[in-house]
Amino acid sequence: MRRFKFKRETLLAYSFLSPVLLFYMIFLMIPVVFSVIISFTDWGGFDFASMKWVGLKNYRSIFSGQSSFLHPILTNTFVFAFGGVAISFVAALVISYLISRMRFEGLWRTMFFMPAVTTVVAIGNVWYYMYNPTNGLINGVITALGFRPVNFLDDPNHALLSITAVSGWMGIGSAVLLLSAGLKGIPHDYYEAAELEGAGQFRQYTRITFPLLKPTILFVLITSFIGGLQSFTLTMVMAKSGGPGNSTNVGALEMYNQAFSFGNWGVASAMAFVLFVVIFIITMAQLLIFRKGGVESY
Amino acid sequence: MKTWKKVLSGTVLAALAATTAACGSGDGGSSGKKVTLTLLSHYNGNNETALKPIIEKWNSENPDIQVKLTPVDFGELLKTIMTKQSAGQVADIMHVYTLWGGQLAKSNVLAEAPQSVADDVAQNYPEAAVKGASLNGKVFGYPTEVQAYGLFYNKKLLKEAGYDAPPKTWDEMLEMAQKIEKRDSSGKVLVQGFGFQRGYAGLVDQPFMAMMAAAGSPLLSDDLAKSNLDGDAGRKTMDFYSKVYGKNGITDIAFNTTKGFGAGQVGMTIGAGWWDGSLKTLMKDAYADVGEAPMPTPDGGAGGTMAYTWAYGVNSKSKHQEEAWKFLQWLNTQTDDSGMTPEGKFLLDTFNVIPSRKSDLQSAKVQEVLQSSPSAKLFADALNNALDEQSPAAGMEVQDILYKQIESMWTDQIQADAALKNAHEQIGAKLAEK
Repeated sequence: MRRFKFKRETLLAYSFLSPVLLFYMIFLMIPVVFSVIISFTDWGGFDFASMKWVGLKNYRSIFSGQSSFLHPILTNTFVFAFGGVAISFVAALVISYLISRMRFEGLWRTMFFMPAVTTVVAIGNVWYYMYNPTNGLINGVITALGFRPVNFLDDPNHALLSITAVSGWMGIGSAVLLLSAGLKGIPHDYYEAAELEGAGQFRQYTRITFPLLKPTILFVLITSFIGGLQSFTLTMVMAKSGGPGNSTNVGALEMYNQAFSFGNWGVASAMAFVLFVVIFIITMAQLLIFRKGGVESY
Repeated sequence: MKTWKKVLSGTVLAALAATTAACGSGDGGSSGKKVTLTLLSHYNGNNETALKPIIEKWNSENPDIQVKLTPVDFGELLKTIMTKQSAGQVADIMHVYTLWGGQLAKSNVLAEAPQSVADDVAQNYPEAAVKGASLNGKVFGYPTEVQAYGLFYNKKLLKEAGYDAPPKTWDEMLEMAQKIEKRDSSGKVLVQGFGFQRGYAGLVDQPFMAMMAAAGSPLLSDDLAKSNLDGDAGRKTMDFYSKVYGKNGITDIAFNTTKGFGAGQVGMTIGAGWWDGSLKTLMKDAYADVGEAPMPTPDGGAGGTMAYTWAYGVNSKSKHQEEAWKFLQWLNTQTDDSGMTPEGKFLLDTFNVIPSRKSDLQSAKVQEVLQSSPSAKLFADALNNALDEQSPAAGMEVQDILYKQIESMWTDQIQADAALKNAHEQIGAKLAEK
C-alpha cells in the first residue's frame, strides 16, 4: 500500500514537472544531442539528404597542425576571457566596497550597471570609434599630449587587449551589482565587534568581508568566465572576422563563421564541443579551488 | 537516405515544427491567394532607396503578389541567408554573389530556374554572365551586376604631385603614391598616395585577384583544384601588396582608404565599376576630380582584370516559387518605352553600370551613356578581357585564407614569403578536401 502511494506521488510529481521536462527536452536535450551528432558529419546546414558521416575527421582537422583553432583562436579566447574577468572583477571588488560606504549608493550602482543594459553592438561601435587612429577620442588625447597615435585595432599587439579592455569595462556593472548584494548580506555586528577588538579597515576587509563574500565571488567568477569564453559579439563588432589576421579571433566567432559563412556545420559543432570541455574543466577547477577555501555552495 | 538520417531529420523536424508552428505567414502558396515574397539583397542605403520605387511599381500592378525588400549589408548577406535558412525563415528571392554559388549549391539553397528562364538567360546575356548565374552547368537565375575592377585615381592629387596621367605599371603606381602621400609631424596620414580598401575578405581579395589577372593568371587553376599563388603572377601580386602597408609599406594601414577617397584624400586605389556611381552621389562637385583607368600591369603591357557576377535566384524551400519567378521575369525582361528593363535602368541609374542584358545594351539610353561616360565605357570594355571570379565549393574559405594571410603580412605578423606560402598551401589543402 505504501509502495503504491509512493508511486502515485512520483507519478503526480512527474506530471507536474512534465511541461518543464518537455520544454528542456525540446530546447536543450534535442539541440545538444543533435550538435553531438553533426560534429561527426559533413553538413551544410539545411538539407539532411546532403549530410555525410565522417567520423572523427572534424575533430582531427581542428587539432591538426594547419588548423588555427588551438592557436591562436583558443589562446585568444583564454586571454579574452581571463583578461575581461580580471579587469571587471578587480574593479568591481573595489567599486562595490567603496560605494557601499558612500551616500547615494543606488545612484552609483545604477551608473556602473548602465553598460550591462546597453546592447553590445552599440558599445562595440562606440569604442570602435573611440579607438579610431585618425579621429578617435582616445588617439585625440594621445596626440594632443605629443605622442604618436596608436593603432589600437589594426596592430595585432594591441588589438586583442583593446577589445578585452572593453569586455572588462562592460562586465563591471553586473559584478558590482552581485558583489554589492553579497556585501549587504554580511551582518553589520561582525564589523562592530571587530572594531571593538581594535581591527582596522584593512583587517576587517581581509578577515570579515572577503571570506564572507567568497560564495558571491565564486558565482561572479564562474558566470563571468563562462560568458567570456562564449563571447563573440563584441569581437565581431569591433574586429569583424577577428582580424588583423586571426589576432582577435575567438572560439565562438570562429564557430559562427564556420557554420554560417562557410557552411561547415560539422566543424563548427566539433569546435563547440571542444569549447564545452574547456569550459567544464575551468568551472570544475574554480569550484575545487573555492571548496578548498571553505566554500561549500553558493 | 539512411535510417539514422531519417530518424535524425524526423526528430529535428518534429521539434522545429513545434516551435515554428506559430510563426507561419498564413499565405496561401500558389493557390491564387495574395502572397508576400521576401527579397533579400545587399542593396541598402541609397541603393535601397533607388530599388524601392521599382518594387512599389510591381506591387501596385500586382496586388496578389507583393514583394518586400529586406536589405542587408554585403558583409552580412551570406550569413543572413544561411541563418534565416537554418531558422526556417527562408527568403523567397535572394540576390546572390556568385562566389557563394558552390556553397549554396552544396546545401541546395537555390532552386533550378524554369526552362523558360534558363532559355531566356542563355539567349540574352553574354557568356560570362550566363556562367556566373549557373551552378554545375544549370542556370539558377538572372545575372545582374557583372563588375570588372580598375584603377580609381584623384586627378587633382595626381596633378599636384606633377602627374597628368594615371600609372601604367605597378612600379609607377608605387613611385607616384610616394610623391602624393602627405603626413603631419606626428606621422598621421593626411593624404594617402595609394591604399587598398579594407574591412572584409572580398574587399581585400578581389583587388588581389584583379591584380593577379593583370599579371596574367587567375587565383586558382582552371579545374579549381589547385592554387596558382606560387606562380609568377601570384608572387608579383603578393610582393606588391607587401609594399603598401606594414613596416616597409608606403602608407599607414590605419588610414581608411574607402572614406578617404570619397573625401578627396586618396591618390589611387583599386575598385569595381559600381563604385563610380556611389562616388558620384557622395562627392558631388568633387566627383569631377575622379578618374578611372584600366588595371596597371607589372610591365605596362596589355593585361586583364577580374570580374564578378551577382544574380537573382529563388529559394528552393520557398512556397511561392512560381510567383517569385513571375516577379523576376518582370524585373529582368519587361522593357519600357525606352527599351530598358527595370533591372537595367536600376543598374545604370544607381551605379552608372552598363547592364549585361542584350536588350538593355541596345537601348538608346545605354548607347548614349557609353558615348558620354568614359567611366561606364571603361568598365564595360574591361569585361572583354576580364577573368571570371572562380567559385569553388570552398570559395568563401579560400577567400578567408587569403585575406587573413594578407592582413597578417600587412600587420607585420609574417613576411610576404610566408604569407604566400601559407596561403598557397592552405588553399590547396582546402580545395583538396572538397
